[in-house]
Amino acid sequence: MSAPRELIPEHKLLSESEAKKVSKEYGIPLEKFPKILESDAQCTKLGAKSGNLVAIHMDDPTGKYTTYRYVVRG
Amino acid sequence: MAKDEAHGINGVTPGEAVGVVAAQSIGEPGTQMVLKAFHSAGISSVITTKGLPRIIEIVDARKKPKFPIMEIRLEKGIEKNYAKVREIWRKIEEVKVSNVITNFDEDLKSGTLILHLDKEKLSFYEITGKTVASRLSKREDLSVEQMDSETIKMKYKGKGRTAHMVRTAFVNVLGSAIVGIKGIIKATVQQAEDGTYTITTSGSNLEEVMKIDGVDKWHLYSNDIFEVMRVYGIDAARNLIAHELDEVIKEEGFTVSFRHIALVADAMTHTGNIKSIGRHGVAGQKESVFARAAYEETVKHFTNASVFGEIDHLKGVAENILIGKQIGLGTGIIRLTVKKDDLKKVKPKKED
Repeated sequence: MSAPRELIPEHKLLSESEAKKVSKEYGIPLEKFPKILESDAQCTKLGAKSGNLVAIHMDDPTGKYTTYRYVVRG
Repeated sequence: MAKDEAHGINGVTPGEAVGVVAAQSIGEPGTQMVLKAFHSAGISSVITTKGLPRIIEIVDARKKPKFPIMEIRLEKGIEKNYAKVREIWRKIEEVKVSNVITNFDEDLKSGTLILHLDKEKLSFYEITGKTVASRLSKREDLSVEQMDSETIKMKYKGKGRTAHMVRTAFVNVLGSAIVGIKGIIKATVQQAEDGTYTITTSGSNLEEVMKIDGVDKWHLYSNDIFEVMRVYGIDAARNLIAHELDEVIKEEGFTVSFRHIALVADAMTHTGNIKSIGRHGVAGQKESVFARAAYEETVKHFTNASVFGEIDHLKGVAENILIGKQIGLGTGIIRLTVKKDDLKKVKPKKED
């Protein structure tokens, strides 16, 4: 069993203008991004509130890439 | 490499049925795993579920794995210091009263219990009879008296001294913990090739382990998906699901592209919570009534939909097959639109 060194990817809270840019780039409204709960461990760490967009820098066998999650109440 | 160029290599064509391809790519080796025996021979200090039962466990999103394990990494300064590592190890493994005694004498009539402690086991866990006695004296229904270093005498002083109640209290005493973290049955110190030590455990409790000094808090590993989600967040859980599935499939000797597995992990976590695949999760919570009814529990979904007046937008695959329309996959996903003004420019051909 080989456990990966990093389980938690780097999270970054995006500003409103940055979020708008990302939404425009993907051509979908913010609500259609994958969700993350406000009570999530990483969200409380960043202080993200519902309506924010969080950028997640993933690093898995497919390579390095960025995904986004929309913060929802919960 | 330019961005567009890279996308051309890694990307999928629009309209590609990625979900179906992923399902088939995982399902095919899955059928072969059923035919194989479940047990595996070998020496392993930590027992875990392997093979198909583990895949089912992950995909069904069980709240607690059958055999939870943890891998505890230590902080940079002490990860090569055996004495320090042992100190931490001692705080982790749960030691119960029954682990450190040779035998016990009980008298239910007078309500006394005499514990005979095992000297070797006490020194192995580096605890003394005094610690055991002081731990037990916190209980309100017992009076504890330490006879000598290896014998502890207890007397039941609770209300209503029936044999049953006395016996229940004594069984409770034997099962109570002296040191360690709740739920961790066994912990072993292991040394890697580069000399660093890690602690592998049977049983998982991230919340408590994180409180111990010297532990590398943010680089612990547990195979309990819900615990990881609670402590580390949803994306760590996604990575864990993908990694665990990948690892199990590799161990069985099959090759499945990580992309397929990652898609399953993404589908399970995209709502911010962990959903199971199947009737209670991903498949059962689809928006379309027809898609849900086509999968399982047809009548339930139709009656509920008619009672609550649900609307089906007929955008998915199952719905469109059902009503006989072209499905939105592959070339079928392409829709044509014409600008109104452009239509005016078109002149009909004159027939000869």
